Amino acid sequence: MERTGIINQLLRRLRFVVPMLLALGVLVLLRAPGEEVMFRLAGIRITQEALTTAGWTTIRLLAIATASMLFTLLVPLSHVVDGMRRVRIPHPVVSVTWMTERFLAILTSDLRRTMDGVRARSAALALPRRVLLGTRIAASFLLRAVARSEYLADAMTARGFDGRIPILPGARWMRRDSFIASACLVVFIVAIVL
Amino acid sequence: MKRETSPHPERILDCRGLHCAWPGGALALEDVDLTMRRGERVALIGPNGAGKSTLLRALIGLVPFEGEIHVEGLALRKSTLRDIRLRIGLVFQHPDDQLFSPSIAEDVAFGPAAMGLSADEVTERVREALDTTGLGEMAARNPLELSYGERRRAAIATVLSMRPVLLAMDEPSSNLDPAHRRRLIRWLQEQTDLTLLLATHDLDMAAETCTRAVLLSRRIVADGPIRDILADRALLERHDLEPPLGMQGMRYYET
Repeated sequence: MERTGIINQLLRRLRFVVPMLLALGVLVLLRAPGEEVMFRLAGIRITQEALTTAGWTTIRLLAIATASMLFTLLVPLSHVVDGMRRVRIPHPVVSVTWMTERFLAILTSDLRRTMDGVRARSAALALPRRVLLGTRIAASFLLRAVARSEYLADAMTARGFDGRIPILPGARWMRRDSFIASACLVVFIVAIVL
Repeated sequence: MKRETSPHPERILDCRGLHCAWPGGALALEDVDLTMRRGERVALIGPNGAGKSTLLRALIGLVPFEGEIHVEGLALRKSTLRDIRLRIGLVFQHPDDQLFSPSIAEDVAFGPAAMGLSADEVTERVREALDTTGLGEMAARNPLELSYGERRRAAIATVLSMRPVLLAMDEPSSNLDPAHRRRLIRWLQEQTDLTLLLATHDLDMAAETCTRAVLLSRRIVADGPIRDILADRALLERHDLEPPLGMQGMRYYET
């Protein structure tokens, strides 16, 4: 994959995560304890300590999310399966990891299509009705996700899946993969320890 | 007691007294008997809700059923499920339900690799299936990024790479543009050794690719040469179908 392609994909994926992390940051900002009050507004108290905690929490989670996404973008899933086999991770764990990654990718694509549908139909609606439509669609999306998982299971069993993800030709864990995994691990450790 | 082997091993497919019910209890299939010989090309036609998809899914044990299904003489049981699934290649109605790997090549390789074939054999089968479906240059692409027609062809490739003894296709021409539909018809016509079970509403396609038609409306209501069945307008209309456009003569809309 070209570098610009990877960056674009990373930004596209982060678009889903960043709003959630910001919301979490705001929650921490409002709830974290602290002494040094920076300002008060309508009963809300923001302290210096809460601001620092919220900032660091958001940055740490963003670093972990970015490193995870870069790993999945740079290391093919089939290489990961081979790597897990080599370090003797049990088959059920390998299969679940593979299916989770695949299922999330498929669901993300479904979600994108669903959101296109929402945008196409909600332009004329006022904000409260748009929110209501959004919640209804979220519920139907969840149901669709369940159906999707069943179809995925059917498709896999129809092709002879017996609980083990097969090793594909040329799918080998490479030195480059080890380097990327190590770099991501360092980011994880730094984000957690600091 | 149910038989372990078919009394007619020369038959590729032998279904006897097949019953399938929806979770609510309504019958989706009722007392269906269907046999197919090697090289036979059968169009499974019927209105919406006739049970065409259910029958195809039952053949590889994806829906619970009562009755007997034998594939190449092998009875469908829990113990034979994997063998049967490797013999029948089912192309699902919606390609999105069939494709799950990060690239087309990986998706096409999944089946042969799961069969335990060598890397060389898997690579050869992938190349062959992609060439057959005209997707050779898209091997590295993500299936989710393809057009519907391309995804449909990729779904077919995933099944072809397993070299099934029976190719079962569920509404293969739905949502295909005319050029890709025509290409698919030509490809099916060229595969003279194929044993084909085609569930479709597209009766023109059925007429061009199959020699026998089975009209399903929860139970089998007609089974015979496709020419005879498609020529029976009254029979088709009783089951919410119409003769193929090619047999009707085109009538233009006029105000």
